[in-house]
Amino acid sequence: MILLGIDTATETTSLGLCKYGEPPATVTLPGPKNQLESIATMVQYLLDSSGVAPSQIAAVALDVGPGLFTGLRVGISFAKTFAGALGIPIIPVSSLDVLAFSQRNCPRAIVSVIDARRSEVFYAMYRKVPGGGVARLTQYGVGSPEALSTEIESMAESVILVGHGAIKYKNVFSNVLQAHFAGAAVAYPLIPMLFEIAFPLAFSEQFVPPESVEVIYIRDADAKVNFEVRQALQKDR
Amino acid sequence: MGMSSYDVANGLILGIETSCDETAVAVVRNGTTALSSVIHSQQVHSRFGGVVPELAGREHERRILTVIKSAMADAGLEMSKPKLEAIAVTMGPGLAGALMIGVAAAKALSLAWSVPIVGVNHLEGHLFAVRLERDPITYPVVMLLVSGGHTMIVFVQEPGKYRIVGNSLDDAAGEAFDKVARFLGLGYPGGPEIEREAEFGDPASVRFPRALRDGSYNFSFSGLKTAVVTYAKRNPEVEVADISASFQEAVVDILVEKTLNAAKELGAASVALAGGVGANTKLRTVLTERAHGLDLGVCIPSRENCTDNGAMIAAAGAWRLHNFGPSDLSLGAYPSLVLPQSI
Ligand SMILES: [Zn+2]
Repeated sequence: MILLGIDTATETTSLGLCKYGEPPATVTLPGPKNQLESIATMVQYLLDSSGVAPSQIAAVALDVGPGLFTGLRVGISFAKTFAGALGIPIIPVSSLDVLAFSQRNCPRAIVSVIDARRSEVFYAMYRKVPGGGVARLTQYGVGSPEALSTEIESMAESVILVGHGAIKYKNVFSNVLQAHFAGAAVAYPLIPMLFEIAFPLAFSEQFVPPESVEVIYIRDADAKVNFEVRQALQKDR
Repeated sequence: MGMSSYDVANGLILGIETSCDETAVAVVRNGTTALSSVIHSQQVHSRFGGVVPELAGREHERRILTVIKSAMADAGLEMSKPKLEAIAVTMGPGLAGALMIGVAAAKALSLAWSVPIVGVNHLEGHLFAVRLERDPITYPVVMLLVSGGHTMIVFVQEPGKYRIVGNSLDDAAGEAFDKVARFLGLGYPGGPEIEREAEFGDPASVRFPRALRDGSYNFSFSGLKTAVVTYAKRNPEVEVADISASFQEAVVDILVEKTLNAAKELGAASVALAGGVGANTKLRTVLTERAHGLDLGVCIPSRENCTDNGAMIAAAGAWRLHNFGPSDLSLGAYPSLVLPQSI
């Protein structure tokens, strides 16, 4: 089984092609710019250099967020349409789950943290489970690093924070007792981790038709929020 | 590109348009005959009184594949055996986050189906809508391109050879409709709302000013908008229908007058209409009548082909492809792209 992996949820563009049981071919470009410009040429490069035809791909493993809206949608609309054109399904995986998976051998509680801009972070908490992998303990959330610190503090246990959101707000999270930080090498969702999560799901046919893939936004569009606030204020008057 | 499964000879091009609030896809044969045209108009914006870019991006992403599939099915094509010559896609101008959805989707189809892509300028797309009509148009043409984002008069010597002879100095005509409609307490988008009200009103009841009668082909609608607002405030007893009809009359009057003046001066064989405001019945009738009076050819595309659609993108894409070849797979989205002027 061959999977195509796509992740444009954060500030990198990462793509990979993986035949089950073999090491994946991956390409990653840093920076949130040029995700649209590079995505197709990168996939073309992976296909050509691996000698794989699009028709051989069984499914697309896709990071569906949360993350930066515009880049996220470039990857998702590419993935959806690619899968739709080939008649193959999609395995949607959350960016926060991919980050946590890189720490699956860590005995501490795991907190995935992604920069959400405007002084906020997306986050979720995990714990390793017997037999490999991690279990998510919370909903996907968004909030200030300070609020997340308080939440972590209340767990009263040793934690490891992973993700570039954790690194960006390290000064805030450092105040939390027993906080450890995963390094920069795993700060962005890694395609090999995406594949590790996706293959078991693919084998148990836990995939969705491309049309049904939903982006994990968590946060509403600003205009909608502002509009609703304005409406509520007008009602109060 | 390897493993070519596409058929160059059949001349079928899939056109994708996502520059604003329409998710639209069509299949066009030989750049002239639409085999299908699916347009999903986003409703999410109406309560905000204008297009919200982030919501437009979300809606395009949600709909794009479904709209592509419908357009393929309507054209009698299978997703598994597409038989297309190329994928044409709007690359700009428009909302960045909206354009990106279409371009990303086009690239995915290109890779999956091994067909080339061709990036299309949205404005040039509008100018190609006339080619989708049954009767061939005689060039040179003076085109009135009026929408929520643009108001321009373009001299088209032949496809690909353009000169913008007039532009709006402030609001686009469609924007003026939206703003006046909002002021009058009508819904969004304003164009159809004003048109509906105007049916019951007297267009001669108020004589609103026709701006910039200076011999230029430029437009200005902000003065007219202010005049309408001031008049309505001072004369609360006057029916909204009468104000709507008079306002519409003023807009149509100035649009048609300048278009025909340009056509005469530049020696055009015909005049044509393009853009969302081109769906306005009053504008369609008045332009047709007055152009006939001047012995000019007239092309008024169907309403569907005036508003943003995938067929016009496929039509322009066919011409681009055959004259300049396909675009690179590294095509981007260009929000402030301008119409290339070559004459
Ligand atoms: Zn348009």
